[in-house]
Amino acid sequence: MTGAIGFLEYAGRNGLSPAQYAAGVSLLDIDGRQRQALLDRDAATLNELLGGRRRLLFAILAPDEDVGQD
Amino acid sequence: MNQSGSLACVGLGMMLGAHVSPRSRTHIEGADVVFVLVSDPLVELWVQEMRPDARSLQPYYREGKSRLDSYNQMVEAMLVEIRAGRQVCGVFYGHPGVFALVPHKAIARAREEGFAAHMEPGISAEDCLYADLGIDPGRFGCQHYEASQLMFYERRIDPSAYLVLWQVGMAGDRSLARFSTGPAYRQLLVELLAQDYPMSHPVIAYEAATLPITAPRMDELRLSELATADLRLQTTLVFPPATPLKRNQRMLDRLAALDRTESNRAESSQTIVDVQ
Repeated sequence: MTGAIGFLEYAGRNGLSPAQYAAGVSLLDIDGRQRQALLDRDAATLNELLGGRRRLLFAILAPDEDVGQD
Repeated sequence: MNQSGSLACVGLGMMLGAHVSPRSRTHIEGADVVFVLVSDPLVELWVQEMRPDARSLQPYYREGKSRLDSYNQMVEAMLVEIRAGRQVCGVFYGHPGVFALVPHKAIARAREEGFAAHMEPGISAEDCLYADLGIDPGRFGCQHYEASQLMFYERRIDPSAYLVLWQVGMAGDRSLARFSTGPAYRQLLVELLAQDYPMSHPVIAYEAATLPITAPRMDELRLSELATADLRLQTTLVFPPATPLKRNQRMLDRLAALDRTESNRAESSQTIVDVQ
C-alpha cells in the first residue's frame, strides 16, 4: 500500500512525532496538492483529492425497532 | 455446520491504521466478498486499498427511508453471498457489536440458516472515550443509553455514576428516517435530563479521532446549552456524576453480620479440628 492512504495507515500504526510525520510526507511520491493536504492535516481536502465520498452515513443501531412503525 | 458459506463481522477500530487487529485484517484480506460500513470517507478508501473489490453498504442508506429497511437490506446483501457458498467479511468501524444492529442481525440470521458466523471485536468509540477523557467506568459506574431510547422509555438515571448518551445528533427521531434532529427535539432531551441534573451541569461533547491527522473532539458544554449545540451523528455526550456515591448502610450492616457469622463458623470448625 503506497500513497497518501498508505501513509495515513503508517502514521496511524506508528504514532509519528510531528518531525517524523513531516519527514515521512516529504518522502512520498504523490501529487503536490495531496502532499500539502497531508502537511496541513486537512482531511476534507485530502478526501476530495482522493475521490472519497462527500458524505457518509453510518448509524447502524435503531433505538427501538417498533417505534418507527406506529 | 453443514454449509460452506460463512460470515465474519470484524471491527476496524476508530482510527485509520491504529486499531485494526491482526485477525480482523486477515479476514478482510482473505474473504471472498467484503462489505464495508465506516464513519470516515478516508477510512473507506483505506479498506478499498486493502480490498479494491470491497462493496460499500452506503447505497442502502437514504434520507427519508427507514433505517430499519436499510439495515434489513444490508443484512440480506451479506446473506445472499453466504448462501452462495462464499466466505463473507462485514467490515464495520469501531467494534462491530457495540451500538450496531446490522452485524448482530447478520450473524444471527446466518447461524439460523446453518452457516458459520462470528464476530471479531474492535476498538470502539467507547474505548477511545475512556482513554481520551481519562475516565475509568469502574470508578463511579457508567450508564450508556442510545439517546432516543432514553427518551422513548421510562428509564432510571443514576446521577452518581457517569452517563454516556449515544446518537444524540438524532435524538428523538421516531421515524428512523432522519440522520439529524433539531433544537426542539434536543430541548425535550434537556428537559428529561434536567430531572436528574442541574442545568449548569457540565457535559462533554465527544467525538473519537478517526484519522491520525485529526484530534478527538472534547468540548465541555453545560446542560442548558445542549439544545443549540453542534451535535452530529458521531457526537457522544458524557455526563460526569452530579451527586456523590451514597453508601447503602443497610446492605453494609447485613454484610457485616454475615462476616461475623462466617467468622464464628470458621472458629468453631477450627476448635473441632483441634480437639480431634
